[in-house]
Amino acid sequence: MISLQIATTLNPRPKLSSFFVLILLAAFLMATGCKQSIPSPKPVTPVSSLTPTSPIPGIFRDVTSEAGIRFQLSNGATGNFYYAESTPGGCAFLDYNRDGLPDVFLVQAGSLVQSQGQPPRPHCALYRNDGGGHFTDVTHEARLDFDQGYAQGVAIGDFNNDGFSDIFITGLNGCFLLQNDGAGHFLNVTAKAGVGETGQNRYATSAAFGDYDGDGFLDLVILHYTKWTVATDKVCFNAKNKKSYCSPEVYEPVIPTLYHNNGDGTFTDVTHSAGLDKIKGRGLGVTWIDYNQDGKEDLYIANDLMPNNLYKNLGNGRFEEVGLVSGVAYGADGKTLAGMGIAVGDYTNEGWESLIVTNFSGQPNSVYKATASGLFEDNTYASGIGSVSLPYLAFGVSFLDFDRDGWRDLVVGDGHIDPNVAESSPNVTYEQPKLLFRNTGDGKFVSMKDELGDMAHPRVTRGLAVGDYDNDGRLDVLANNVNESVELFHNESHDTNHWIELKLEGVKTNRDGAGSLVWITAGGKRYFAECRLGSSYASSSDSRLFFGLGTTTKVDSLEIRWLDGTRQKFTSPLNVDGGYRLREGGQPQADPSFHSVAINKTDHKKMDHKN
Amino acid sequence: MSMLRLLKNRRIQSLLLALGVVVASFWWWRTRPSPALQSYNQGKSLELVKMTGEALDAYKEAIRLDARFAPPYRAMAELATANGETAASIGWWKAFLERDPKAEHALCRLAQAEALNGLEKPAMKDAERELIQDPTCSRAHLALGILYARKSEATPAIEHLSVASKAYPDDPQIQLVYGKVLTLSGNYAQAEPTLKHIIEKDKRHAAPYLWLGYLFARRSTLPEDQKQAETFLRQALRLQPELPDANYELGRLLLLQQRAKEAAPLLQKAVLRKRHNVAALYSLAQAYTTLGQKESALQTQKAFRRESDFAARERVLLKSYVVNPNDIEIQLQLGLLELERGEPQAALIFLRSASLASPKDARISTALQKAEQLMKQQDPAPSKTP
Repeated sequence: MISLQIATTLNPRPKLSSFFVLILLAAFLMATGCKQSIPSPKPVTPVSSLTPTSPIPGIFRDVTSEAGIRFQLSNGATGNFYYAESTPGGCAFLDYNRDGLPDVFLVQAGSLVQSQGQPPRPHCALYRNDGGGHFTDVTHEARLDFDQGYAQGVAIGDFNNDGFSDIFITGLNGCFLLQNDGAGHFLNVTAKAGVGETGQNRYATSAAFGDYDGDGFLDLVILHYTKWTVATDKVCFNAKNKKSYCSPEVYEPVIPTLYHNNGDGTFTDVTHSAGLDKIKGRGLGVTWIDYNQDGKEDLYIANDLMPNNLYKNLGNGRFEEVGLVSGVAYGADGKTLAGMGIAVGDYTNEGWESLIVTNFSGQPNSVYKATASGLFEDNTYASGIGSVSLPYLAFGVSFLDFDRDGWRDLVVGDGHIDPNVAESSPNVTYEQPKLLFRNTGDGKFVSMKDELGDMAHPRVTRGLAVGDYDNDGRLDVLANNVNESVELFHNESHDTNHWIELKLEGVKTNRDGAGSLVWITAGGKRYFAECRLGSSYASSSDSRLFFGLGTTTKVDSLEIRWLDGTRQKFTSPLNVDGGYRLREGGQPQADPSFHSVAINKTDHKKMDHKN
Repeated sequence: MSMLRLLKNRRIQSLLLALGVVVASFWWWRTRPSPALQSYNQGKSLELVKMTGEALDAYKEAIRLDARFAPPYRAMAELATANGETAASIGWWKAFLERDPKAEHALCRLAQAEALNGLEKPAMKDAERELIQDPTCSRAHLALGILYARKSEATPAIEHLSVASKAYPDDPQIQLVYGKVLTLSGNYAQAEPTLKHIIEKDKRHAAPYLWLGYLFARRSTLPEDQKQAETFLRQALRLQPELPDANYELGRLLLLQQRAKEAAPLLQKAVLRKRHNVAALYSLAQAYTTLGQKESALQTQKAFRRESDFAARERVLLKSYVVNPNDIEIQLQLGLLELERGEPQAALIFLRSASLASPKDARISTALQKAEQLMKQQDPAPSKTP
């Protein structure tokens, strides 16, 4: 081959003068261009100046303002692009005062680096549901107005079985367990419980209560994102050479923590003995799910750019990772995806709960359809969700049968992490609308983009929770948005379908009924759901079980398997369009907080109670 | 009158004659073909009769005679490009541009060479500079399209490739790149005619069938689209039975249609042809699981985990490498990773580069030796005995 290597003498390279020009150019860029490329921090809009955006007709109406909720999640971004700014924060529906009306808890992050002379960091907020669609900020009177650090997520659960929902807040270098005293106050019992996660590099994102050993007390799993501190933050740039948030891959993954509830107000770290210390991850989404219905709560974790984990509960206090074998660890082509949030639900009404994992933009939201064999099929594209979700970076996600036709639909909260993303990826935006998918009943979903209503307003959504806050039998949606007002969406679907809601109350098993499996039969169809306390992203939805029933006007039978294996079956018809409370070992009682329902008294006596 | 008198003066006449000679000589000197130009022209003539070696010498002579004379640099750059020595061509293009900064389409040629040699940032910059000079330069659009496609930035990639595609409607490679980017970005309606156009020109080209199969498999779950996908993929395999991506795509399609028995052999083939194909390993493991072949499923899952782990580690290291290509530690880590993966050839690229920068580093030398040994084992010298 003829060599064409250029002789150095014939290739006058930039000499000293050019070198100086380069230095000057670099200095000029450093002095001007680089500074300009870092966006100035987005000022946190004072809550008082928040104005509602113009309403968009559709299924969901933004009622935040008229409900009296004035809250804005601040991630404290200052233009430094600290990694942790991309992950706050969650939200929750909980009934803290047991009046039957779901209240609202909102996670706040605030300033990441607190320096002297700075105003105090804002704290999370609790809004009491007063009924009539109105909420009151009770953060102060509930004694929740203290510095909770740079909070990330929330988990709700009655850890001491006193009947009142307790709150667990996750955060950077510290978590908080807040015990509900039943009188409207929350006591900080973190230290006593031993779940403070105060060690270095404890970047806790999502957490969830669940009773993995079936001893009647809720245990707690806490995910950690990466080994990260402000001091170890790295500087990264996007495709347009603008400073941006780094890929999680530049930080070391970490293991989750599993705390066993000792039943005396204290917890023991059992991560090692449970076998959860073997696989590191970048955990963002977590949920308890009895995927194989063996009566033991298994654990599913969505990891960012690492395989998702499904921990099968072996029943002896240990877990075995079966994510790959079960088909829920990777994307359809074996790629690791950027898992964020998790939705769980039986969307095919085949009696098994499937999993949906939200991912980064450019990746589809994964749909893992459950089968009776305990294996999952990847239905990402076949379900119709995959291709629609590609441009969106999604975090919070939940199933909800918004039109009560008996087929679980899906809502997804989107929003990119890079404020400058549109410059490098013109078809991707920082603020994004939510996605609503209607389940067509044949294993497929269609996007409801023209009927989103106010959900179409682009936001940077992180936490998302679902609940029927006004007990009208239509599931509403709560979304916590970065540097913008929280959104409470009222479901205004015009359908005339029927429904039923169930509130479980464990006696021998945990008070919340977590891990209990419920089957109802109505109109010749069988519906299934598991009672769980946390999913989505860093959030907790209304723990009552909601079943849309289509045109069916009565429930023929109700069957429940409590976590200890006890089964109860009620074969007398239940009236539809109302809520019931079901205490373990007792009869379904009409929930007085629902206006329309009354249990059919003649049928009540016929109820067959089988233990 | 006085002027005539002056001209009659013999001394003045001699002076004017001398001046005329000087001017004429200067004019002749200015317009004569320079030796450098002569050598350059000679080189061009030699190139025309395919005497490339001799042409090369003539260009070198032209440069020696006049280092500021630009055309032979361009000629050398063109020759290097034609000869596949794109790395060498970069230096020649740069040298040419220093001498003739406004030369037509030289920047885009430089950009192309830079892109081919992994110098993505300068390539992008040069192509963009070319477009400022000439917004219609199709080569610059092509280079930018490919560069954006590599960065997974579909929108600008499509914008640029669309211009290049119109400029070269019958170039199957350009049409294929365009069709592929359109397909991968979900622009199925545009991708379909682009890919079909390539087939119209050449029915024996397997790649467009593969991408049409890919497209139809993902466009919808309608049975007719799925069937069409299968037809295209089978045609791709008829034309090129060992095409690994076509084997994988068809295997994947059949697996999703619950036809694991038919999918398994195709996926096996895909894995055999591309042993680091994470996607094929994943699907094959699923096929074995569905078929109840537990042992094979376990083994394939193990292989998948290994490859998936390698891919993840490589991705992280390559991200750092792009930012710090001269970092010896990153080069060493990449070399070691490739060694662990059983790819000594890839390892050598990183280890040789690290060794040049740090020849006394024992870790690098050991790894380099190991890679060279493995290369010999994998590719033994041909036996001398008949």
